[in-house]
Amino acid sequence: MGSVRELTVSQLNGYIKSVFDDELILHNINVSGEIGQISVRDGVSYFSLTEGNCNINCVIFSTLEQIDVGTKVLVGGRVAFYAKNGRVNFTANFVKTIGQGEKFNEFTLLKERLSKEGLFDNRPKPPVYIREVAVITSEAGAVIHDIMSVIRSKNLNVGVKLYPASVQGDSAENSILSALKKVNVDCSDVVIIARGGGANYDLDVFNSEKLARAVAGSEVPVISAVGHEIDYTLCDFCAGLRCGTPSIAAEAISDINLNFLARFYTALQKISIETERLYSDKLAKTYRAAISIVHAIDKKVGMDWQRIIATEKRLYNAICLLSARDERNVFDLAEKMTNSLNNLYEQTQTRLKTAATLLDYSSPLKIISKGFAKVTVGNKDAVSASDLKVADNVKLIFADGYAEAKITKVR
Amino acid sequence: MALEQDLKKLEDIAEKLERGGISLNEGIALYENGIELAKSCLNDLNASKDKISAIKEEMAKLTNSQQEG
Repeated sequence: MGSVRELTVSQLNGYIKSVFDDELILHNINVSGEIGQISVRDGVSYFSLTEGNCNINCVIFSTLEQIDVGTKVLVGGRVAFYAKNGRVNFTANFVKTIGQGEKFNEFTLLKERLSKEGLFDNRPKPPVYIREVAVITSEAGAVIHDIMSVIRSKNLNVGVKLYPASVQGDSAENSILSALKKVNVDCSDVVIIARGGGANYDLDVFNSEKLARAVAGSEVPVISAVGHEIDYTLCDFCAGLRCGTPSIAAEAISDINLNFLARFYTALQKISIETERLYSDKLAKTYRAAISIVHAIDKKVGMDWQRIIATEKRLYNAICLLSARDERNVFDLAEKMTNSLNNLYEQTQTRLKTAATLLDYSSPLKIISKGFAKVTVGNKDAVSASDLKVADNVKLIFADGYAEAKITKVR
Repeated sequence: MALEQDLKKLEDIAEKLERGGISLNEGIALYENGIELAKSCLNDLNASKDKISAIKEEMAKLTNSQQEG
């Protein structure tokens, strides 16, 4: 054998590039395959073309629209080697759709079959509140880190338990299946089956029938977070919840808990408001009742008061009447008495007058004044002739004086 | 209810007195009796009023403390 050549990387890549450039057949060639993954940036479309187990990165300097992953296409262009990054790229002039790819057809058929079996229906949804979340994903990838950081940032006290599994390659299926089995034994509240984005073929395991059935049969609700947002897998359909990316799944967990807490607090508030309302209702009723009692009592007291005062007035009036009556009687009597006395007085006066008159008439003086004279002998009145004898010295008493005489004859 | 009975008695006395046909002495005796009763009724009523105000105040305190609390 001759001596082995030693080249620098640029020398090697330059050499490889010249080989590619010299191979004319590679300058204008049509290739058929399925679109594996596609992205468009600045008017340039990057996509992978797959067939069987093989894959080639392609680029076309135009915007590919309405071409879905799994579409079978015919691509025309040239194969180029890029010395700078040592990559082989197919630079396409055109991309022509020629039907759905085999893999896509297989996927569609399997999906229909599983759907008919009801594997996609009534999948257990994540519970209303999550205390522990199991994550089936690669121990090494960024996925578990993303999930942890999202959940931690929300500070919701959710436990995250990693169930390490290989998520691509031949061992992936069994690895994920056994992890899922373990999760179901441990009874986590929910499990996220997570895988970061990758070329479409990298997600093949998530389209396996075995895994789809295991996910559909999981008692622990499954959140499928496989690939990018645009990729749908059978695992997504069999899960209780499908999230575009692992971060979105972590957000969903947080949202579930936040939503629960919000509902919980709202309910608590409602209960407290309702209780408060019932309480104040009762209080108001009691207060009203108390007030009406007080009013009634006040009224009753007022009425009793008036009754007493009125009765007292009646008493006073009655006694006044009685007293007035008696007073009147007394006055009447007194008046009567006075009248009687007056009468008596008058009567007496009259009688006296009469008597006086009578007396007056029979008065000696009165008789004397009519020419008669009283005759006395010594100290005695001579009322009869027999009282006198001749020679008696007598006194003749007149009304205005007297005279002395001597009896000369008695008959 | 003593007050109610006393009040009734008082009114009976008033009626008797109003009806008349009695001597002043009898009337005065009734009047004295009536005034005594009226005084006792008013005393009772005053006591009731005091009691009511006390209860009212208690109530007001309670409701105020509820409204503050």
